[in-house]
Amino acid sequence: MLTNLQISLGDQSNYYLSTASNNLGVIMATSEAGNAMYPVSWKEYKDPETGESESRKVAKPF
Amino acid sequence: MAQAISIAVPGQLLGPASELLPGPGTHIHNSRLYASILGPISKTTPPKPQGPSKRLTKITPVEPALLTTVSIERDISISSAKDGNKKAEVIPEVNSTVLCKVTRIAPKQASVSILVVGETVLDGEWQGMIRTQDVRATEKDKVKIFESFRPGDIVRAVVVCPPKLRYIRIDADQFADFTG
Repeated sequence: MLTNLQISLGDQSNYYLSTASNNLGVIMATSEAGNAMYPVSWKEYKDPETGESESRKVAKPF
Repeated sequence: MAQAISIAVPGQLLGPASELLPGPGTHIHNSRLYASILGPISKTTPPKPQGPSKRLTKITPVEPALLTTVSIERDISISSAKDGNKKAEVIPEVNSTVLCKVTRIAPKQASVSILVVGETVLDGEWQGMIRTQDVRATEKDKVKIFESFRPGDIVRAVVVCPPKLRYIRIDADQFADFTG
């Protein structure tokens, strides 16, 4: 059985980032049609013009 | 010969365009010179034309280069350094909140450019990566990157781990001073 304390080791050029919290995630998104979308739930953004929904990891607004 | 005078904010009136030449960071609107960016104002006066004293044998147009050029430095730390306040260079640190733009997505991770750290807009960009297990706190195994991010999205995230730093060594003798 292994106990691992170290969560991760970054590679040479990248910062490792996390969005694992309610207030973290996508705050601005553009739809496939190119329109700015608004969040409708914790996992969906909606395009106001086409009415299409796209899934995202939505950040909870402040 | 340039000297920082004060800090301009975007849209600030700098003077009439007939007396000043627009430099970097400024623009002309309605024959007046305005600041386009935030930063210290610097005025550059061109050197006096050299050569033999003027002979009025030739008619030359008035040289516009004699006007003072007003420009605005993008680096605001130039002026603050003169006041003795040193502006620490902001780089992302572990646990700092960053704003980043998704550049590309892959099945296992999303690549991002870090643009803002805390409240500070960075001069350059830092590369970052969000792996599937870091997207959300629960049901990590069901996360799909393409259902979480798309290229162009602006994402708020925290730094988990900086890039692996190599070639950092603490000399044993120096270290002994701290422990002793």
